[in-house]
Amino acid sequence: MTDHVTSTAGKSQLLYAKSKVFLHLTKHKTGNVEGFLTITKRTASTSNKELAINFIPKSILNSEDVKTLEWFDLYGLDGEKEYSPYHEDANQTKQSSSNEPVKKAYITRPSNSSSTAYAFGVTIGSLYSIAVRPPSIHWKGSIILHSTLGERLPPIFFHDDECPGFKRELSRKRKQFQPFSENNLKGGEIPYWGGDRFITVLRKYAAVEANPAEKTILMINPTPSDLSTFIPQDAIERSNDKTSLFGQGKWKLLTTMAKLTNFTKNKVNEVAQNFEQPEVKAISEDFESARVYLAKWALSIEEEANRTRSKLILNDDYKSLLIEKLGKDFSSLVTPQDINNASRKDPLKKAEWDSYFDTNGLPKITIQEIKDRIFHGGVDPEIRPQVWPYLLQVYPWDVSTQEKHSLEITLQEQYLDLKTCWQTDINKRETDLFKDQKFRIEKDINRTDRDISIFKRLPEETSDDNEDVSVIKNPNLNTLRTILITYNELNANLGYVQGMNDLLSPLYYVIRDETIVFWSFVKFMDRMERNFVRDQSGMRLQMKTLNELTQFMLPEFYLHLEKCESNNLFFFFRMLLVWFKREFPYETILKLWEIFWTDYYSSQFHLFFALALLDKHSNTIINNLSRFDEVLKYFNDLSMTENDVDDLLMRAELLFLKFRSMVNVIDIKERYEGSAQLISSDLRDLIGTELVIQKENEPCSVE
Amino acid sequence: MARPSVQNKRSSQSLFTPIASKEADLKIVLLGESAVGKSSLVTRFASNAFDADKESTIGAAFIVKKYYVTDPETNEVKLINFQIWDTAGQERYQSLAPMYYRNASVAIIVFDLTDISSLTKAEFWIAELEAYNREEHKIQILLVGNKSDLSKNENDNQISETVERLKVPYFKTSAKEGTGVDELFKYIVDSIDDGIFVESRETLDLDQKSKKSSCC
Ligand SMILES: Nc1nc2c(ncn2[C@@H]2O[C@H](COP(=O)(O)OP(=O)(O)O)[C@@H](O)[C@H]2O)c(=O)[nH]1
Ligand SMILES: [Mg+2]
Repeated sequence: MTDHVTSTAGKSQLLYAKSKVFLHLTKHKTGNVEGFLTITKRTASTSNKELAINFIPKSILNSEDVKTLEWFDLYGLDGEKEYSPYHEDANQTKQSSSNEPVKKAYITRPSNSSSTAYAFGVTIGSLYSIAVRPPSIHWKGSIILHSTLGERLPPIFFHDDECPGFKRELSRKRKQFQPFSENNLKGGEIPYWGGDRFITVLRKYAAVEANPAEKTILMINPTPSDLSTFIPQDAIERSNDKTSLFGQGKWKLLTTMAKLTNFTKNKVNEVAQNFEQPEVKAISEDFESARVYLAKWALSIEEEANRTRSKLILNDDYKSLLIEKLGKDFSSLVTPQDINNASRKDPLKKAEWDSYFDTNGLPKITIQEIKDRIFHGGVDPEIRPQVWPYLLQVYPWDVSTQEKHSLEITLQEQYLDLKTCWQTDINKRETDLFKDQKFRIEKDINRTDRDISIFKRLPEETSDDNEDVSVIKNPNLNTLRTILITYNELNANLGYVQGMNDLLSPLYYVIRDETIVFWSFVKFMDRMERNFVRDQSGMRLQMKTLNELTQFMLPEFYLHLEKCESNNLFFFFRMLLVWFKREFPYETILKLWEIFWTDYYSSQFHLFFALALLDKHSNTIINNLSRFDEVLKYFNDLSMTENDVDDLLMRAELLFLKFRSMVNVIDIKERYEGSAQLISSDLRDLIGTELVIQKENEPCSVE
Repeated sequence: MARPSVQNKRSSQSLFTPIASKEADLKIVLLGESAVGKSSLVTRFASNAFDADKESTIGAAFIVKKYYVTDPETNEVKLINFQIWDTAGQERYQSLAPMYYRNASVAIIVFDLTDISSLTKAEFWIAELEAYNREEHKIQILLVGNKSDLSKNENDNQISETVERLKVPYFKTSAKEGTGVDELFKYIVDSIDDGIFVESRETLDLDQKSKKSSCC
């Protein structure tokens, strides 16, 4: 052993070290400063708040320290079986992942002042927050430390593809099949990356809490007021009067008005620029590709489910509370009045609909009353063509007859413009992307709802016509093609995705007017886009939310599904993707969708409908099915009728009311006790009626 | 009750439901460009039918099929529980494909004999699965050229060149007319490793039933 390890004079103990971290001072690699990110402890009595976080450029370190840091990055936290110079007893250290150093290692005490070239550091006590930017295929992951002293520090980039320590961590995590980052930054999972461990280690020494408004900003030891006065970045950008906001709280830290340190002063602009325009970088082999990432989807849903399970499957405390407040079996939750209200009514007829509006076409009753009526009864087929564009908000509810007329003209002009744009642009039509997407649309159009009268094969069409899919003889299908190609151009990032044809077909079937169908589809897609985004995160979130909802509302059934390895609720993928279109008769879908569109109780009522489906079949499944493939087949083969829809809607409504009351009771208890939140924000969002909108950000390319 | 004769019965379409003494689960995944006929092949295999107007697959479909075979030498009846994942064609959903092939024993990669670009896509899938197999997995890979009824052998040169290069078993089928489909699944059945068969639940059930009836 060298005394390097045991002597501590002028040295600090390493608690964390990461090699291959960089400051990007210019856009070019030559401007990168390589260094180490460390957390160190000065003496044994140093408190957590006095622990130092440093960026130490490699150039100012002596070779002994470099060796120690590189060793620590590789083996300091996870142990090592093989020989290493800082190893006393190879048998004693085992591979752990406690985030606690397995060995004591020391380096020359880093300076906290920023005087030396590019070195900087803060103590945990003076760290206010950290802005975290996980990697994507376009940029490297980075963090920015915000100190309470108002220094503006540059982003620290993690070059995971060059970092042996990271590769080792990643392969360990892969072996344990936990390829995701441990710190949930976006409310969705991201693959493991270099900065993740730093945050995990930091959590051992400080309270690290995501800012509620901006999940990628982590607050360090926040006070309650810190969390509530924290205003998300985009709020500042949106604000007209920027300076007034900057005066509030510690927000000035995040602005370029903040005091600059010596070394960053002249570089800060370049740095800021660099952060905003990340260099586009090819996918590194060492990253989990999107494909592998998604492969672990189902698994991660299960894992997540296991984590929330102990919480959401209510313990006796909560159960007795709910029984006390809501009656045994929660019977008083749902009153006879609720049941009466939840019963299904006849569809809304023309005379009644007309009576809702005055002579100018303006509503005489509240929108909520109209929605209540439609939610509980649906709409008579005769007036669907009028009602649907309102439900989909192609027309605002309070548009006068005259305004509606001019709106229609505008919509027509706009649609025509969009359509002629691709129809006449010869160059566009020759691009691979356009041809690809068109071919895709045509293949699907040929297979869209052929059993519905208006989409049937014409007598002159033989089934052999599928030799050339671009020949679409049925005029109605031909219009669907035009609309889908136009939408593909309008929402170019998302493009056409299989399943959209299923969403369009009923709109056309009901409305028929090409322009209004198109805009209704655009509006419908606003809420459905989350189902089609490339990384599948929107679907994933819904599946996860449904999973939590099932744990919370149907705990016994959930446990059974778990036994059958079916608790990832995989069989709901298609149902959620196209809103049960493939599970119900066509006419029934028209009714179901118009009810969903009301957002009467929740903009995500389809999840309660899914829950109702689980509820309805729970006894049959518990008593008869015990295997994954059996359960899957059971749900795949469900063929349901109009009666089923009414029954399920009623169940869904009662389940919603029950859910809302349970959340209320638990909220009151937790507010009283100040205890942790049982209900996740994703679950709580189910009570909201605001649309959940998620757009595709990355441009569509040839697939 | 006497056991029904199942000799020469190769499919469950037989009038009798045979009682198998051994059974095995076999997971199959179908991959390939959209509209090459994956779903049609599965329908042909599972219910011996063809529907030209069937909608496109979204996400994935799961099909189970019980398939009985009689060992010509021992006369022993074996049951194969096919569990088939039929995937969607578009990349957007194919990114979910590993979830389906993760536990599969056999992958059927399908292309359309009349659309040469779908063969390129098939090559891509084969490469992906071979890469997966290098990580100590053993998915049997089969290549299928479908729609032989439409094909005028226009792409034959390129196809045979590719097949030779890929070195995977290759089958020509028509889901529409049913040609080649039996051969494909017979090949799969024949290459099942005997080791994966276990005592059949059917015999176990039967034992239990006879016990019950004897006691009451
Ligand atoms: N002529 C012919 N058409 C077929 C054959 N197999 C499938 N098709 C047609 O090709 C289209 C796509 O078939 P499908 O099974 O849905 O393809 P998938 O997207 O790969 O599942 C449908 O219109 C089918 O009717 C075949 O063997 N011959
Ligand atoms: Mg298909």
